[in-house]
Amino acid sequence: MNKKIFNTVTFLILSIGLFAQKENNLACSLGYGYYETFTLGFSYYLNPEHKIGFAAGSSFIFNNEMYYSVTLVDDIALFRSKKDNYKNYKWFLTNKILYWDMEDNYYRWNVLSLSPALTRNFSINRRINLTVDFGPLFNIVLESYRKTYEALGWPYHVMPNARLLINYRF
Amino acid sequence: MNRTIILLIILDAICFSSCKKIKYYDHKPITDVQTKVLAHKGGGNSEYQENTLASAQYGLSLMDGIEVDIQLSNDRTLWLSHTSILPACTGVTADCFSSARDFEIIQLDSCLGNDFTFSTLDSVFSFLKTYYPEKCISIDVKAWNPCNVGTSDILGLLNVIAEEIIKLVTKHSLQDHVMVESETATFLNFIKRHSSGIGIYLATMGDFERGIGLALQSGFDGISFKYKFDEEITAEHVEMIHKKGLRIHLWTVNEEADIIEALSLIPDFIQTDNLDFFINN
Repeated sequence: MNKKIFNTVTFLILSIGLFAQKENNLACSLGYGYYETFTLGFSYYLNPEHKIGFAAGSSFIFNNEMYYSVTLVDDIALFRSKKDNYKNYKWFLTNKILYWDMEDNYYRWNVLSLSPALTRNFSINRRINLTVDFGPLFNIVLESYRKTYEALGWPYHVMPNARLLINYRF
Repeated sequence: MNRTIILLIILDAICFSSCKKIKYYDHKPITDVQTKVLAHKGGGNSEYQENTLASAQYGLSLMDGIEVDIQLSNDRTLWLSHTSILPACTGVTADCFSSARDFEIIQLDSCLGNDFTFSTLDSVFSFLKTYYPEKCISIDVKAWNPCNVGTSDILGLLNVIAEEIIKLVTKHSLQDHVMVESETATFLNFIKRHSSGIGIYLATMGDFERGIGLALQSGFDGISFKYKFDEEITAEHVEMIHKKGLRIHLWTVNEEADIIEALSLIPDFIQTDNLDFFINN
């Protein structure tokens, strides 16, 4: 079920990216986050200072763990410049709502996470930029399913999270 | 800029390689488990009013220990009672433990005659220490509905209850014979911080995973689990709890078939109203 959702989201993201007609307002992102894992998404610039985004991620199968994530992102530029130059938007306040589903040998977890993060944007050129964000992540366990009685665990309530993304603005 | 990017990538790599999303707890196995049976509500029945010194004497004479419910009076005295509401009696105005003075509770006791009586936790501790020093008592502390605006500081009152329990345990030297159980982790944490030798159990209405997770995170001694309420509990659950160094109470196990089944799980404590089963078997 989750794999289907992941595939659908990925397809949608690619489709929107490929067929986006409104020039320069849409961007696609590719990268890795600790909680997002390998992630692919898109974002929409409401204006140069504010963008919203959506991404799906998966670590596929790693160490017998199956992991999926879906993230909603809201980026607001900090230290705004008067000049509307893409190079001047270096810092963003990023608010993330992240749903993740993790399955290992012992449990399957459905978790909702909230994360305020500070994002640093490095512009390579007008279309391509690199972003790194750091921030705490607050986990709320929605559901847990025990698979075996070998271990006993619980997701950390608060953890640091970091994400590295390459963005391409259409 | 390149240096900053490299530094951030290194920080990312350190974060990704050093952290786990799930905290798994180490094994601290408990192997010497012998199930103790506690008389629920002190062992009250049709002959002995529940949560009184008389029922506690009866329960302690038969079982490995007792479970009692307590309430705090306005004079900081702990009284045995399941409810915070006081029964009505002509001429007595006190209607709630937390706002009633001790003399009013004693007045009410006299007013109600032989039909109803109130006992203090102090008197029960004194009896336990004198006659059954090897037995144990579990105190159930509930975050009750406040009777009025003046008693709405529930956490504040729970902390006072915690202080009074600690004082009584110290007064009677009952360390390692007294347990507290509550759904309120703040109250349990207060006891944990300010005392030693009092068993601390998180009461859970059937959410096993959450209960043991919280107990392990907070360093409590175990959980007090409502039997056959929401989730089933199996021997594997109990075995795993013991593997992690926790203990478990099962309450309230009354039906004969349930008692036999619960005993087969080898929990640490079973709380029951059905004392006859244990007298006859």
